[in-house]
Amino acid sequence: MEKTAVNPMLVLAVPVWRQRLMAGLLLTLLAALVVRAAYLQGVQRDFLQQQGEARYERQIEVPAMRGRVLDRNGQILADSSPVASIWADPAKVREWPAEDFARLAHALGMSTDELDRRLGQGGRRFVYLRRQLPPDQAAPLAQLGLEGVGVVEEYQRFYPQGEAFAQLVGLVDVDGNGIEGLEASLQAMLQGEAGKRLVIQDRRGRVVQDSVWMQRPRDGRDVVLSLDARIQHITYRALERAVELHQARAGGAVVIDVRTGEILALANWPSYNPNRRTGLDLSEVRNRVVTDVYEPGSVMKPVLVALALERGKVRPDTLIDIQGGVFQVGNHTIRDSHTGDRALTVSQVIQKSSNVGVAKIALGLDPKDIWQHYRAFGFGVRPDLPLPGVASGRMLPADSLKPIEVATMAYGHGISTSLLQLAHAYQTIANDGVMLPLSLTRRDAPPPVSEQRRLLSPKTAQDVKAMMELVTQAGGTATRAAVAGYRTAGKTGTAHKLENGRYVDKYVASFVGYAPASQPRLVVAVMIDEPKVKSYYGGIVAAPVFSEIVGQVLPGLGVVPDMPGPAVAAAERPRG
Amino acid sequence: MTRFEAMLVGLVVASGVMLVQAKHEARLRYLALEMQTRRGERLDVEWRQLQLERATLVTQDRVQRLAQEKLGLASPRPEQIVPWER
Repeated sequence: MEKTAVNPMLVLAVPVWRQRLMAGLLLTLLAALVVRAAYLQGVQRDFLQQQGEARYERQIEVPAMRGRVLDRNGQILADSSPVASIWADPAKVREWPAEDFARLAHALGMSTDELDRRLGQGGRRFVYLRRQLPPDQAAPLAQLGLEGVGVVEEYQRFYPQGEAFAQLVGLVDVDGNGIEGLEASLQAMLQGEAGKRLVIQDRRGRVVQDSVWMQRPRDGRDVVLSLDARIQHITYRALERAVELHQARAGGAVVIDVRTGEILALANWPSYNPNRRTGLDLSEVRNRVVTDVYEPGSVMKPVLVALALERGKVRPDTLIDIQGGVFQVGNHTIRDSHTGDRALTVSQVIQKSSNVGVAKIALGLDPKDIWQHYRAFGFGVRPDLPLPGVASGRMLPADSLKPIEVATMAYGHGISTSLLQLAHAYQTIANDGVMLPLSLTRRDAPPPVSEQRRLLSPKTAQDVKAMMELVTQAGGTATRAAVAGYRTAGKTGTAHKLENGRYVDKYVASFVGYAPASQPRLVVAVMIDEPKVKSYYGGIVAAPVFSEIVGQVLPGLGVVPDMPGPAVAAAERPRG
Repeated sequence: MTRFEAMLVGLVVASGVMLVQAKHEARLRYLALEMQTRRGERLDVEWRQLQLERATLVTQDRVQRLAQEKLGLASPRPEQIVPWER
């Protein structure tokens, strides 16, 4: 009965032959493994090593998308779009049969000779055959599946606004790094960070298996500028027309919001198309408005007169003896271009732009005071803007100013400034004497009070503004700066150019002004370099550009006309 | 072998089969996810390209030319503008 309690499965009754069979089998298998290992290690070693190298895990860099540059209303000024570049390993491609070589050349759209040239001589293992193709053009090449040729993903920069913004927005190089303009100075912000991905690639460099992200790419940040694409185009076109009309060498114009210090437009001529940049001329790339300095001429006069008013030396109606427009300082003679007047009020000195008048006013002031006053207005100080090559301009040293130097500084000679600095000085006057820091990025409100600087009393600023309004009215030097519907004010400048330390018969014509005069909204500064035909006076060459810009921009901004014409007065006003 | 043990063996086998099934499904799902991610990326790129295209279509130069030449529009003269005060 006991036997039945035993589990039959646990009874060991293994025949000897089974043990032997098992041992034999295991030994045979072991022997097979040893033989196989020896075979792989010895006989097939080279083949296997090659195969191993062909498939390997690799970290590939995934480029980050560069941030966009936008105008204040979100219009795109610069954006990146993915493109593909084709590379080759010349050593491998040269070993191909002729028909494959021809096939590649055909796919690239080039002749076999050209492909041969591209591959070059010498032992390079990497050359670009084509850069920045649209992705759909590169796809067939990747599908050819030829060894030694690959496709890399890149980004190409596009500038939909074209030449109007070219110098300001700038350029990137073929690797996507900023080299000019804001692209260069805002590189850190726009750039982003490339990601890393671990992949297994085959010997043709194709990704066989995607694996983990080591680090995801961090795309660059967008930059919103203070500029307005609409105003910029109006400014650029107006400038272009004037430069062409007078066959000038170059020109620049800048528009600033008086109440916030934001730069709304900044245009240069000549310009270039940033989307097609073969044969770029350096003179086209220069952002003259901020990088070029020149002797501004009469545009400086209101700044000097403001100081005399502030110090109580003169009043707007103080009479100045003009001596018929010829005035001797030491052994130098100062002349007016409109001669004949005996005496002018300070207001008329500005209106008619009398050199003798401002020279006499300046000589009644302390030279150091003038120097410090100019400096406070930003002359000789580098404007704080994120752009490459921002010029500070120059002033003579304060301690050794001779009377003739004081006199010439009063009408803008012996001092060099950029157009941007002049526009900034006028922003201060137009804003009732309060200078606001300039900005290229959007501000929605005026900058904090701690950043505002009062340079003139409101009374002085209003007196100077009243004088500048006379300039655009009958009897002034810039009647062509008038705009239908709006009161305007400003000052002309017609300056001889300095070449190798001597004044030559070449001119810089300029006009800097603001509108509407009753409640200034925009400062517009225009500079035309070497106008050759028709005229070279600021009032005739540059003032119409101001008028055109203001006349087109103000209605678009919804600024109510402050000089209603007869038609408006007659029209019945709708009730809102 | 008890019935209990036989049941365990059955369960182990079944769980093995289910594991294989689950792995297979996970792989399929992962592939589908990858495909959708790729599609998302492609659409993203396309969206940016379309934005860029729109940007080139709405430039001031072009709009102004079309307005003037095709539609015969003109900027209003100051006397044609009537300010509407609220």
